[in-house]
Amino acid sequence: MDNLNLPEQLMIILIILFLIDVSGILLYIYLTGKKQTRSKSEKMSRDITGRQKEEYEDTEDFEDPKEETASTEEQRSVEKEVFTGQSDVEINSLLTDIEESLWKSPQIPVIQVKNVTMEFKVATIQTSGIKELLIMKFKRQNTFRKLKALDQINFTIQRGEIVGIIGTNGSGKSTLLKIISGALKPTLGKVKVDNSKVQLLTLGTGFDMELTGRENIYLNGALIGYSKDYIERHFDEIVSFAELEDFIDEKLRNYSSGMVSRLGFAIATSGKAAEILILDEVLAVGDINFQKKSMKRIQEMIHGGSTVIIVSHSIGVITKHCTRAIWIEKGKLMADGNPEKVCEKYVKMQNNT
Amino acid sequence: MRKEKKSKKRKQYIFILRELTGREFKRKYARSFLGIIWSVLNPLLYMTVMAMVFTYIFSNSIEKYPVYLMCGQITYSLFSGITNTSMGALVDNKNMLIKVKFPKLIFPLSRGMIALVNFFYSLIALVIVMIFFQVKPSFYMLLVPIDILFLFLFSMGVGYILSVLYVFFDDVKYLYSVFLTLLMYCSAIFYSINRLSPMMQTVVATNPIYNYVTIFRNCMIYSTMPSGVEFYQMAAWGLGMYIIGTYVFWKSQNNIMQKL
Repeated sequence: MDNLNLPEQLMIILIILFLIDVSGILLYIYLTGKKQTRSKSEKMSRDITGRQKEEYEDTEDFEDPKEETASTEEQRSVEKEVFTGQSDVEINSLLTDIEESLWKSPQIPVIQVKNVTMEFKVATIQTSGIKELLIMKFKRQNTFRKLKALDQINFTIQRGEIVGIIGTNGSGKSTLLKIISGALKPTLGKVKVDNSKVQLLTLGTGFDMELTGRENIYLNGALIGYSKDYIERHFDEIVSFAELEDFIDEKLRNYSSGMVSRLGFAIATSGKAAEILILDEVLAVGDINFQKKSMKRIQEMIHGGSTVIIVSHSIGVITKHCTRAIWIEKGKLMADGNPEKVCEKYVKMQNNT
Repeated sequence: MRKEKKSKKRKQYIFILRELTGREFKRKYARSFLGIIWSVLNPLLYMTVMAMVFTYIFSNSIEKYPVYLMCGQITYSLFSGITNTSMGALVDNKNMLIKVKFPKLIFPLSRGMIALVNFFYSLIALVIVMIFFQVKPSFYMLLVPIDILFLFLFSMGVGYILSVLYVFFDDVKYLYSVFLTLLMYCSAIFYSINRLSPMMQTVVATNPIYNYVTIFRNCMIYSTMPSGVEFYQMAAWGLGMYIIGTYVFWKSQNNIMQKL
């Protein structure tokens, strides 16, 4: 230490202090991290019982359809029929099949929403500057008011259900979906769902407008959690389902909104990767032909053990395709149950105001 | 089984990172004619201008000045490049954030990777200049990757914090650009630290960027081993900043999602 001058000595002291700091933070992270993982695993083991447990162990986060274990051989053969059979009559008969099989199969809850409350802090005075914020803080002004986007929402969705969610604009539907998909954490309450299985499909998210369709399939697929291998194998299928063969090397900027949503839908439903599919106003954009096609795809997925949640303003879509409807109004759960009855109430309310 | 799952996850992580990086890359050079060649040309041109200014307008006594200047410049621009681009990573990718089930760190990280790639191209320019000025290669150059690794970690740490801050305050962009200029003048990029007063020397020496630049220069030009203090400083700043940055990022992830 003798040959060091004062600044260098100071520097060493600083570094030592810094190192102590860092090790403290490291320790903290280590400890908190451990706690979290423990509680998580506890939660999971509580959640999963019987058949579901098997499934959980077997399915990978980014699974190949090959490794899918949930559906039995019997179901496979029925699926093949779906691929070949085109007419509505067959689909209808399939639908009744599905209902029957649902009736028989034990009810397995895949999504449990318990007492979920979401509060947003809404700035009463818009401050996007540090200066203003500091001034506000200094004056101790109350710059925020709390907005309840969701208020004590409770429901459980079983495997194989097609649930429609309705409600007026700004009633908290999208927030709810974000919470279910794990993008947001609720202020209060719990959502029990395996996040890695959820796929949220909203209009235009996950795409880069400056890239071509081909590049976007890879990018979006990667973000969703497909492996490179998987995308390569399913590439043609995705393109043909989206009916974009002629535009695939075109920039997405030049696509119509219908084309983008078609592509998004095709990617999200390719193979049997999505066990829980959430569609946020996606179907409304496609033309009737595509809507039919995508509904058929959804039925296939349901048959393969998937669960689908549809958010739509079109009551037609919900009464026609869903097995259950949930109505959310101003953050509150208004009705839950038979789609026709729920929609009837909804329409009545809309007409009254 | 579990291990397999983990490796699969890692593979996917790398895949996403590559896709994102590739995407940023394509965007960056989509409309320029020379494309990636600019990464080589830019530091060369910058060096030419600065070398001219500082040899003809101001006198200086540093030997092999262009090499000296360029070493400083590309190291500094690695830092500024990473931090500046990763600052906007979250805001620009708003609509992708909901989709990702992976740590959202990958967005700033992919931007950082671009800056790193850029840096490697700039190294080509540096090598050209070094050959031109007949700098002898030495074994010490093998230390350079370590220096760059820690600089990368340091910059990413700063980048994470900035990207979070930028979500909440637009002002950060302007403040930071001023700060970057200050930092540049305090990093002894185009002057020698010996010309400063002792007080200023300490100030500059505390600057982590200066430390990285010095190690880089010592290894590249002067073939000297970095001193112990320099070495520890390098590692401590790099690791420390990265950990702090990651911690801040993790902590504020939920707030970010709410804000966006």
